[in-house]
Amino acid sequence: MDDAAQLAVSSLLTGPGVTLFASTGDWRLDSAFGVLLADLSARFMVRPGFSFYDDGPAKNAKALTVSAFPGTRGTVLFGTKLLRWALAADVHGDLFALCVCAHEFAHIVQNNTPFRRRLQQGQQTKRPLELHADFLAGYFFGSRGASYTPAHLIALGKAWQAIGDTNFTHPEHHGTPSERLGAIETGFRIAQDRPEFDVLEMCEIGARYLKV
Amino acid sequence: MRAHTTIATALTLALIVGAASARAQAERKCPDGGPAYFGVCPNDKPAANQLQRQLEQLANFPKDVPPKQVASQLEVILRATTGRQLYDIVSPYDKSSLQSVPDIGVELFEYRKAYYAYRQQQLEFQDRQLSRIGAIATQHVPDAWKVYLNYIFLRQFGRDPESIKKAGEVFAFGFSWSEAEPMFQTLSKEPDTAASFVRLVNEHTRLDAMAEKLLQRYR
Repeated sequence: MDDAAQLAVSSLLTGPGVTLFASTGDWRLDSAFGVLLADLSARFMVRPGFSFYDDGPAKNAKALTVSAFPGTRGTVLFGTKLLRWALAADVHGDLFALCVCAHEFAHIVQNNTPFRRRLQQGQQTKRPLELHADFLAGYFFGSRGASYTPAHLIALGKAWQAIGDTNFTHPEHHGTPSERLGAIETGFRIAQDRPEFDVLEMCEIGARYLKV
Repeated sequence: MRAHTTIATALTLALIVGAASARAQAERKCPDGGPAYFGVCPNDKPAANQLQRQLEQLANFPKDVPPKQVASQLEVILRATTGRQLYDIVSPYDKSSLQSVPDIGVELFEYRKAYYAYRQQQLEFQDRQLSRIGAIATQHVPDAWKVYLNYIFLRQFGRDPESIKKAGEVFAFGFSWSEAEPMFQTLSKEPDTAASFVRLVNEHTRLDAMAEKLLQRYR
């Protein structure tokens, strides 16, 4: 990993101890991520840098405004612990990882457009920003042209619901379990019903869904 | 012009968001009270799901679910077709699939049994009547006997010969108008014809009402 990238990312995370990884350590997984990232870039019309990182005890993924890699805008980091946990937790954990990735790319879209400001304006918590990213993750999930079995959908729905929280007044509040599930489901539905919408149109629809 | 376009766009987006939210909201609860994920219920049984979709279709769009043409002649003549359409839907399913349909599963299985018995009685009655017609008719053409039976049923319903003739509802090679009416007069006096006819029509009415009641759940 490039030293400059390491430094740029470290300054935005917990400090100099952050470690970045170019690979998951499994070439098949790396290959699947490569396809996913290309698809996400094309569909979301963004080109962020991407890296795995040591997320420590907190399983996490992040979207940063800093561009840590040349020729990119913004950076997405995916925690190796989060990835391992997702794949071990359920046989369909790959879909959860895919949607987490889409959620972070959605933040990059928000960062590159006026939507970030719109979604943050007058808000006490991150809830609208996060639910909007969930909505866009649902859009990506529903617009891939893939067919999902009931088991896929149930596994993803349960996992997504589980990352909701009820710290309503905390600035880091991301939305309740029900709100998070509702946002990703609605994005998914609209993507399936109206495939003609691109990501920017979906950003607008998502903002209206959240009444922002 | 631009203002109109903006308003139209806003309305379209509001409609899209409203419809998708409402759909997601409606799909969130499973019949067993548990949560659904992307409209899928974890405890769902595929057969019960498919059956429920068919029942919804019949309850709301009955003309899109035409009855199959394997019924007895009397069933075909009777105008109320809901009972027959419901039987067409439930008959391919086994007991456990039918009983797994929320709220009405046990009644659906009872309905299937009742309609099956009714149809068997219909077909047995039809066979008996056709045998009698065959014995009376001068022409030995089974297709014509079926048309005589149709004529007899229509007469049982109180239609007069002239209106049947005018409507062109009965015609086939081997069928004779001069023979039809005397045949009806003979058979209608036989206890089996009159009593069975009334009993079967009443049973049809009862099953049709039962089907309507079951489908209310999906309207």
